[in-house]
Amino acid sequence: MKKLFEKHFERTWLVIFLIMFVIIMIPFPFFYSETYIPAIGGIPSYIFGWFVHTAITFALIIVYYRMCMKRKEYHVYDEKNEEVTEGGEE
Amino acid sequence: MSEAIQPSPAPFYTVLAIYLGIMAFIGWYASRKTKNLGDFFVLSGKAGVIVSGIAYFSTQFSMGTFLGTPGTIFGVGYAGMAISVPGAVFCMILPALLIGRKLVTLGHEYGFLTMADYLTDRYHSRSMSGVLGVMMLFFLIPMMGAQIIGAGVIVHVFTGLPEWVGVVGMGVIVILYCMSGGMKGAMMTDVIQGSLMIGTAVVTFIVSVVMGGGFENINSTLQNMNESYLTFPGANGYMPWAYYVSNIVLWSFFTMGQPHLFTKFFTMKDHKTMFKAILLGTGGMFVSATLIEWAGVNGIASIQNIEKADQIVPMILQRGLNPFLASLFIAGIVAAGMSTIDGILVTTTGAVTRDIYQKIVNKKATDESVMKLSKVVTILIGLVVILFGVFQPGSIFEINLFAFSGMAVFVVPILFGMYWKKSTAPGAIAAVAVGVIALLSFTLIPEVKELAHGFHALFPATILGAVTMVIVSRLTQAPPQETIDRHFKLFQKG
Repeated sequence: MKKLFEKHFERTWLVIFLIMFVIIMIPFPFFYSETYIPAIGGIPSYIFGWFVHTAITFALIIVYYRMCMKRKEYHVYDEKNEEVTEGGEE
Repeated sequence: MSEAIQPSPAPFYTVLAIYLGIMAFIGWYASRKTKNLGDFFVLSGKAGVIVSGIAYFSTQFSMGTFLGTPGTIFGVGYAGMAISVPGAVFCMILPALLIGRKLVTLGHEYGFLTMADYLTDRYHSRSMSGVLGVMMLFFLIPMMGAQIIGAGVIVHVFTGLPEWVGVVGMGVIVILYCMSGGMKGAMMTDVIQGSLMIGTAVVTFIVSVVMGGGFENINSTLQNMNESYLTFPGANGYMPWAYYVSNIVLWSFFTMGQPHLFTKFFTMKDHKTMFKAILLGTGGMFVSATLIEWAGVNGIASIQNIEKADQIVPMILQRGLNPFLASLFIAGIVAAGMSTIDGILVTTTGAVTRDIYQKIVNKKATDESVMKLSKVVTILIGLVVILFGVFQPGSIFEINLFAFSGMAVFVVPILFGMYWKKSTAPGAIAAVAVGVIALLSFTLIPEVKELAHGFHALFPATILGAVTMVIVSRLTQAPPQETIDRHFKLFQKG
């Protein structure tokens, strides 16, 4: 698994997010329901299904961001900007 | 005027005047700091996290999101929330993964300012600029028109004045500050507007729950009225599964084709900024979309007798809060419209002045003369938008969706340009032409529409565009090797 991320970093993450993207489209009753399944306060249960899915995807974005920040190709422009800031932004 | 509308003009004018005064000051301040063409169009790639994140979501979220979508959902129920909620988390991460990361790099390396800069260089053809410019005028003017119609609705609900008054008023204000501050003014005001939008979504939601007597009460009322408000495909059958899928893809994947969002990646100062902007923007989009759309559902239980569905959110605020507070939060919706119009107006002005005039009509035009021309063009486009808003050819949501879909066809040349070395300019132009014709056919001709099996017209249009791209590119000459190298070698490993 570690090798997969090292060798095909972008592609692996793209696949992960595409899987999450496709999962939400599958008409599971907790995402898409033609019958009324009440949850807390009578709110349809699929609303909570969307929330859980969003929370997981958002957590994955944070993990992806942290992994990217450990790679040098994502820091190419950092130094340039520091120079600009030091010399005054405008 | 319907009896349901209870105008409270004095507080509305007071709050709006203060709010617009602040926006005008920012526009003036930004104009003093706008020194060159790069600043005017993309803030010279210096935008930080807060500006990039909030500007992205406040440009994408519009009157459509804050008035049109809840209005549409008002007739559907919870299923209508599928328009934005399940796909909201992908709104920025998918474009960032597929194109954003590369655009930040290309913007820094080659100084691209607009989508046309990228397409013209990648396809080694100035015709790409012209095609994009014409398409932008055709589709983005209606998109701005949809926002301005929303201003009319708000002014009508809060003052009782005819809708055209709000349309003209908002049009004039946006023209003035876009003309003076360009992208810098637009993005600085976006930050305030975006924050206000989140506040408005939260307050509208809370007010709608309180008005409805709590969740239990709202949902049992909905069940008694019609249980379809709580299930798919919704009370009027609006959201069958195919359309549920369409909406998830439409408002995330296809945002890549929107020039005003595409440009935002060029403004980001580095990749770290991009990621933080994604987190901030995604959070903002999810929270505002969920709450404002949910308020539309809650409104079904407590508000009846409205003139048109687009009025639901202003009416929730008007009935649930005192006039000053209601006016303050309605300013958040005005903000949603203004931040979308300003982003698009600056981008469309760029299409005419830089992509058509400077690149095709007068190649010797200096940046200074283009800056001057930009201000005239902003006024002219703004006036056309005002006329569009006065005549109102459809509901806010319908117009917004049509315009968004039209520009989304550009996903084909963008993705092929980034991932397929053999894609050519004739292929890209043919793909856009076929895509637009297919989009119009699958939207307007009932017999053709049936062939899409309930999916949005953009799906078959994109597939046909992609097939055309492959066929025509195979038959035509690829751009020079030097161009291909410039776009692909940067991203090769090692």
